Amino acid sequence: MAATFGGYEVTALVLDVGTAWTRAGYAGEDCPKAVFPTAYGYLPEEESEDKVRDNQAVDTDVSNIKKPKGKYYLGDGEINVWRPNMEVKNPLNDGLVEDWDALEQIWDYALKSRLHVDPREHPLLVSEVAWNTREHREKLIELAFEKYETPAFYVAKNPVLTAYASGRPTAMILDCGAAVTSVTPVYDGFVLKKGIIKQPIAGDFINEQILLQFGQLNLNPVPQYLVEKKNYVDPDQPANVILRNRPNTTASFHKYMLMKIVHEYKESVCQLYESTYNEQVISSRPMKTFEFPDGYNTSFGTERFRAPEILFQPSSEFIIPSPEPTVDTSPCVGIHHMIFNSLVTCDIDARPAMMSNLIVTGGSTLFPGFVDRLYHEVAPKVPGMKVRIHAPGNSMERKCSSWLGGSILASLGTFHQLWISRKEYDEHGKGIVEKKCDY
Amino acid sequence: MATSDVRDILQISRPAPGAEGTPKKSTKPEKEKKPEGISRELFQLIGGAPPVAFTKPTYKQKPNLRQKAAHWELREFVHPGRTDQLALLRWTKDINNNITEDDLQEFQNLEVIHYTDEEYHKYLLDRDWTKEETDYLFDLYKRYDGRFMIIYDRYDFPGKRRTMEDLKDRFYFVQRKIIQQRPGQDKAEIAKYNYDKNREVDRKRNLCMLFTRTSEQIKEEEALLEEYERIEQNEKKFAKEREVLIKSLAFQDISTTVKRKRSMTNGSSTPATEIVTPVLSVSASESLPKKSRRASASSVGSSAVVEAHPPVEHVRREKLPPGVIVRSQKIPQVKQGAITKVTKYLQEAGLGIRPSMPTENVCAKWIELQKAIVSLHDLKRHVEKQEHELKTKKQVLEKTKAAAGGSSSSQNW
Repeated sequence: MAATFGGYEVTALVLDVGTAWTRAGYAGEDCPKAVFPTAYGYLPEEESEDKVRDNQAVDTDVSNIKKPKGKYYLGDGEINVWRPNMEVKNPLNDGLVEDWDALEQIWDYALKSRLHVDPREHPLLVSEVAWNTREHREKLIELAFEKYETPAFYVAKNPVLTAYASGRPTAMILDCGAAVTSVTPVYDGFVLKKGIIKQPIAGDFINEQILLQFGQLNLNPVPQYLVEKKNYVDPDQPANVILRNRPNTTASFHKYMLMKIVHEYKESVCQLYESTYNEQVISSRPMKTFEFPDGYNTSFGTERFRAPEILFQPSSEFIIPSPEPTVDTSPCVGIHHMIFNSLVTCDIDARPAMMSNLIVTGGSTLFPGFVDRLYHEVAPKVPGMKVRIHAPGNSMERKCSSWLGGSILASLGTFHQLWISRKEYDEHGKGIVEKKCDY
Repeated sequence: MATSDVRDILQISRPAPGAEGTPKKSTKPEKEKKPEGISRELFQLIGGAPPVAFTKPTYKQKPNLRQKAAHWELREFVHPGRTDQLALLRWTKDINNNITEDDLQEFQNLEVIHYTDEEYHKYLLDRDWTKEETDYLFDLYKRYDGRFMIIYDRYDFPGKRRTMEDLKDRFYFVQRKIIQQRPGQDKAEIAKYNYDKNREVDRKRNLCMLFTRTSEQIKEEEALLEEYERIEQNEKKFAKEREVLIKSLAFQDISTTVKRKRSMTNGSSTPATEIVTPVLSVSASESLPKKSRRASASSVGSSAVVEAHPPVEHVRREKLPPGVIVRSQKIPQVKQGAITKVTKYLQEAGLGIRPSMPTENVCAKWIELQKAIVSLHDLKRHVEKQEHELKTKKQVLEKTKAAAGGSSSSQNW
């Protein structure tokens, strides 16, 4: 039976921690078993003392690791619950891990509370961003072998995994996620480091812009946690709502909940215009209605095209200046320029292959019209070449492409000689990750 | 008529008396049995033609719950490509089953010819390349299995910036040199490592030029290419026509020579005058009026060999459709817009659409008449138009006059 499909499965675990979502599951499966937000709720120690510790899984009983100072709330079911003084934080910045304690909590939650596995029994494959640093990778391997005592470990780059997921060893990967939009050329399964181009205009930035847009339209969205009872009102009529009294709410929690509204608005209403932006044509398109959690509902016309347009035109025409800017948008360029800039760093012999394998991934590429628009913008920039865009129609595949690639990679028979084993780690130390996971 | 009679007529031998009722069953081919483990669809593709007849649906068998479950075991296995005996666990069904080597193929490492220190100092010294850097290059080559695209991407030797061509040139040079110098190396291998750096650089520069073209340039290029193809096709067509022409001329030549030969056998006049005659006849027919020429063309029979092939121009002008035709058909058609008008005029004059007695003279007159009607009609229309224009112009003039008068009066006022 060794020749049957999946005969090489070694029940490896695949863990993909992205800025917005964390995905975890078994290698060889076609979708992750657990998908939950990477953001977590945090209560400092003194507040959590008087509470009953109901979630045992969060507090690990591994004795050699220091106890977390506060209490962590992970998973959709926990983070969306209002708690006084609970902060909402994200351990990642620019795709890189900043808060290692929180990352440990996330791994714990994923492996123990969601997958219910003993990490000592399963090899572990972890994904990383293409611009991950040596220190970060060494910390990852330390965490895997010292704390979780996995028998084998491997860390692979997101674009390479995405390329695997779509079955193309050579490709140009456009990943437009929550925090970062990046373009990475992959050649024969290796990332071409000189071609990595990234900028912080992605889903989160668009969310903030939409929030500012609401301000301009004099809309005041009320998050779900403040709504006790809402009543039906006619379109454009003020909301008829009974609000809850929720004292001591932290600003971060409020903002997280606000962003949830914006996220829903973005997914259900926003759209990209398929060719060069033209407000006159767009104004003739049908409007779309959106209902806020407090029952207020109204229709959106050209506004719903303006925010996503920032992806292609990050100029002052579309960006609303923020009172407290989170990212510097002045050096940013449109996605199609990013692709072109990355392309010219590649060798001329590799360029045609890159352009005929342009893979689109990440949640922010799911705007209706995104792929059409991308083709409309990219094709004239490389007139002599054939441009072929590969965008999986399945939204799950687009959101979890790097996890999927990891799942494929870790179930290949030939891959098993690439794992970093416990023995190798003991012999060579953490520096081995740079040598063996060199893709 | 019984079947036995038919059989007798067709001289088919009578089947055995016992097998009368079941001839079909015996002729039906034995259905091939589907082996275990192959799906039905796959088997239909590889194992004979699929059944044409409607097959009775078979229902899924009830699961036999009492049967003992198949035994699966979590077993350790060691990948043959690993050196550290990492034992990974995997579920296997059969205890006796082991993963064979070819199931888990190892990575093939590229063969690289390495130099020794002595060899390096003897043959490979280079002003631009230190030994450390060459070592570094070879290390990368091995590490990335000879993918120069990636070697170039990761190449980071302090104080040096290399192009991909530099790296390739150095590497292949070292390989060639060692094969050449080291005894016992297959010298034919050198061809594998041939590398012409200048040519590569040129090629890449040209490719870059192609890459940087704008879409207008590409369009222009395509248009030019199309134009070129068109010209070439025209040229071909022209050449073909020319060839046909030459052939027919050659035929004339042959016929004249035939004639000359004949005349020579006759032993009459000098050949020179004989050759001139066809040319003369052509020019003569050219100068003749149309009618008489046609007559001459029809009159030429098989009397003269030359005249059996009338001059090219003659044939071209007179396009005669094949078969029998009526002369009235040769009357040219009036253009589409004027047909109704012309027929109207003709009816007014008590004439039909076609001449009732289409002799040559009548037809010629008829054509003249048609032409006259058409020009008359055109003139009439023109006159009407001009009159109308005149009218409007006059109106405008009056208006402006009135306005001018009004304004002048107002000025006075």
